[in-house]
Amino acid sequence: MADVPSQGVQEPFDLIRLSLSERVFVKLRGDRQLTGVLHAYDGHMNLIMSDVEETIMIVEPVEGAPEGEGIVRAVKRNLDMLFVRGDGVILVSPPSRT
Amino acid sequence: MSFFGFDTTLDRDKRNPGEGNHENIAVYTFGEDGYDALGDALDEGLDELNDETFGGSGDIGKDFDYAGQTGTAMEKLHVAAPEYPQPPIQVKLDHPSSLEALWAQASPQPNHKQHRVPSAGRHVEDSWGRADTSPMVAPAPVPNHAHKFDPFSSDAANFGQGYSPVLSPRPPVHHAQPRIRTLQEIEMEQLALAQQARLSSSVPSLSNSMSHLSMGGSESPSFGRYHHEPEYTRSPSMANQQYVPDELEQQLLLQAQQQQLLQLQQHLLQQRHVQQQQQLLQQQQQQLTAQAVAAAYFGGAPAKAILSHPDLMEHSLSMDPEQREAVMTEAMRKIMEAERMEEKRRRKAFKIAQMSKYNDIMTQSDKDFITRIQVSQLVTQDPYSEDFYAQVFSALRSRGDTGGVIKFGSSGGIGVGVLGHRGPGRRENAMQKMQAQVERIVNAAKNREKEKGNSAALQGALGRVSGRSYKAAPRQLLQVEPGSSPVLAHATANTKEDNKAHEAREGVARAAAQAEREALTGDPSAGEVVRQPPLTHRQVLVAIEALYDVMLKIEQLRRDQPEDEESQLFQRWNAAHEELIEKLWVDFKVMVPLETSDPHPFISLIAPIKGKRLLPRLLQAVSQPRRNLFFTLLVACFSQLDVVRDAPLLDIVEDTREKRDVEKQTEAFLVSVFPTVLGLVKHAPLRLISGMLGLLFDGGDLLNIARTKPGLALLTILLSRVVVLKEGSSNETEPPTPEELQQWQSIFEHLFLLLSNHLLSLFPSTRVTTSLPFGPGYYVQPPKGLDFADQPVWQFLAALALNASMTQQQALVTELREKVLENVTSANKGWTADETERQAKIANVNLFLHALGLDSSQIVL
Amino acid sequence: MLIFSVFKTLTDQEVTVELKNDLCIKGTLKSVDQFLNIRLDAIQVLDEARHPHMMAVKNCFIRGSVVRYVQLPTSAVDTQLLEDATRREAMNQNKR
Repeated sequence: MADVPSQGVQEPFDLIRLSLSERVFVKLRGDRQLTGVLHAYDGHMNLIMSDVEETIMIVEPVEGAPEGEGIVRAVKRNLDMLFVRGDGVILVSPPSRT
Repeated sequence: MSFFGFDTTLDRDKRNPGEGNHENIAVYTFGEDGYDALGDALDEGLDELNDETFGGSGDIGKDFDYAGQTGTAMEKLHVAAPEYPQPPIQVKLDHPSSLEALWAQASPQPNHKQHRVPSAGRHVEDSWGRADTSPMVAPAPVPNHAHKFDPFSSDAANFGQGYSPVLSPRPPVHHAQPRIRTLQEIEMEQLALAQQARLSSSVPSLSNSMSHLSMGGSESPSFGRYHHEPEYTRSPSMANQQYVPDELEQQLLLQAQQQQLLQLQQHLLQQRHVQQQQQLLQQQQQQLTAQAVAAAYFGGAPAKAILSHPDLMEHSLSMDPEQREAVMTEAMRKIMEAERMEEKRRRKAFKIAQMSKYNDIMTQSDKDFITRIQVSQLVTQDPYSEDFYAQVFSALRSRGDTGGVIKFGSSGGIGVGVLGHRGPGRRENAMQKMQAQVERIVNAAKNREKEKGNSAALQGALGRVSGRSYKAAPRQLLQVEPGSSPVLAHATANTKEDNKAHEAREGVARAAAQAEREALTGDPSAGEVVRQPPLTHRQVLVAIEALYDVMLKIEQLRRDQPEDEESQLFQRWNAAHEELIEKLWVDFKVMVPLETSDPHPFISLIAPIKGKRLLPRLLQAVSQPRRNLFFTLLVACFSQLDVVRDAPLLDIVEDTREKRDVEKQTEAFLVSVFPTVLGLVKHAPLRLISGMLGLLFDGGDLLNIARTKPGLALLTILLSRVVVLKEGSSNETEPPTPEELQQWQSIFEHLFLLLSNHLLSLFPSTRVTTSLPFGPGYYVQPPKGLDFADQPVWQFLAALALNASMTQQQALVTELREKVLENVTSANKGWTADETERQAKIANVNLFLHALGLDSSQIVL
Repeated sequence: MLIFSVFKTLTDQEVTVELKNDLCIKGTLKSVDQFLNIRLDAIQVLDEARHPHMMAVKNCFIRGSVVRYVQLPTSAVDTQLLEDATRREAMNQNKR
């Protein structure tokens, strides 16, 4: 057990592979993010996840506030099993462990 | 390029204006907005070969009849000669017989052949039809006399042939006219017509008479459609046109539009022509002129030619300037309007025609053939490399009839072979098996008890109990004070004694555990164990993925297993297989010394769900002794398991993500790991069971373990296995020796002692209630479904009761009295609204009571 | 090919396709190709009030590139097998 396996991670996709069947955080285009259990990915970053919580950030303009600023409102919804098309994926990471 | 005098070059790459139309550049740019730029898209180049393709002489076929005439025709137009040379090839087209043939093709009534009048009408309509798509329409405001336009518009004809509507070469056909009638002639005809019309107000007869006038032919009522256009029938040039079948077909398409126009005109005509003959004539002429002008443009005749045409000039001169102006405006307006409408329709029709030329090109079998080719390209040589999921998935779904690729032996509920039962279904399988076993042995015990009939001793402890045997003759039952339970008295009395015995029993347990541990490490004095920090989460993930790689390789190897077991190929295959399995076993770190880290690396490896899922697949690959080693390690480190450590989270009432994660982990453990354990325990000798329990004690945290679902399940199967062994009902192992039995007895007593007085805390329902804040907690309805969560506890208690001695049973009953009564009461007094919940409560209690030879129905409240 | 392989097993299942323009279409998955173009039958548009023009549409072909999500029936997905398939594909990719 002294030989802690450090081999294996040679390219970015190997990193994602570590998160298979683990909970991951996915950032998507359009101010969306997902957390869910990763079950599949491919070279296009198409993903299949389960137990997904989607968060959409909606910026609501506030009067008097400068352009582009305002109250950020998060809309959440839950999805059981989800295919995510890869072209919308910005990043995939393990969730921050607290 | 210069084909029929049209410039075949596109606007953008115009290189040579071509002879004959140098003054007409404006023509090509007219109505740019109407030009749909299709020409740009359709630039196919190689226009310079047109001459080669269409030019020359000789009989090329009728599609190319117009070849060779282009230059001359254009020149003739420009001179505006009243007499047009008759192209030799086209003479035959002018012949009535060919006309007849054409009509026969175009019309459902072959007897129309002689009717040039209607054909003239069509002709105009045709020129309307193609007006706007012709890019060379120039807005020359010159009244023309309706003879110069090209009825066989290149585009109309091309249409049917799928050509580009723009600039496609086609010889002008107007020179096909044998003779041009003068305006005077036309006027005379119209005059005569009008006179005749005065006599007959019916339009058909009018037009019939017109046909007489222009043709001298017979009447044909079947021509109704084309009758209503007397003003067009005047045109001598139209009367002489030949028709190409394609064009006629095209014209049929145009009918609807034409009808509208005709109706308008007819209306006009009918209103006025009787009284205002002269006016009518003039108007007709104006209209005619307007049409003709438009038609001339569409036909591609250069404006100059139109202007210079003598007939036209004559007619123009015959009008005063105002009239002329009016005529021109009218003409232009109509041109524009029709252009727009036609533009739309045309484009649509063009597209349809473009596509429809492919209609039915392929038969259904052709399509099927293509589909097969496409599908065969999707199916690769090795379906597992490209289509693994779908292949295996369908194999699993239809297992049994496919002879599945993934069937791995029959190692009872292990490995991918049982994927089909994954999820809740399979979990139930394992749990149900256990449950069924407990129930079976409970029932066996109940029957034994019944035979012995000694259950009365316990009845008092539950309050008033009516035994079945007493039902016939009820009598006063014992009323036992809870405090004065004989069992408790017995327990306290024997405390001292117990302590001594306890130590002894602990010693036995320790010895048993030691034996197991030695088996695990292979060397009892393992000596220097290098203590290490536990694996980090990331290290675990990397290690698991590496293990999966090996696992998948093994499974792929099995798919490729050579048939012939004797061959050298098989030897090599076998060696590779063994090597991989060895690597898998080593990498799973089962043999790493126990004290290496906390949690043990192996326990860390099965912490993530994917680790738990991998475990049964690993165990299915290795030999039986190694499976036992795994079992030993698992039990020794049971308290280190994440599902045990995190179990308290499950007692939180509110739903948190952490709680859900632990639930998932627990389920994964019960689904993936537990069936394996169950399979191992099912064949374990008593000695092994004793050793396992001893290891559990050694871990120290027995109570905490027993408060978890996995722990409880483990204890339950161990205890029920012992019952089976003691009964001797399992025939595959030899009955336990007396020494083994004695060892077991002391270990069990140790277990009982550890758990007694904490039995209530084993119930999730109790824990949840007590974890609630005091006060409201007692009044708040406990969360639903707790009875189902309690079920494993009742099962365990039943197994415990079966192993217990009489005194131990009494102690059990005393401690659980409250819980039993609570359940029975709430079920019987209707405090529980839900019927399934009520039944669950009763079933739970009965499970336990049956083990004691009692039944909930015996309890009288 | 992995995802295509998965979708193939989902034919005749009820899925909900969410497009990048936020249109959600629920329907029976009839077929899919390697571009993940999707053909749906018996469709129903969620939030029909916002998309009245879709009301009469009963089946449709969706270009794969306009899809954002597809919600799948959980029971029809074998997650363990899916992960294995993903690992296999990753291994094959690494080999190349």
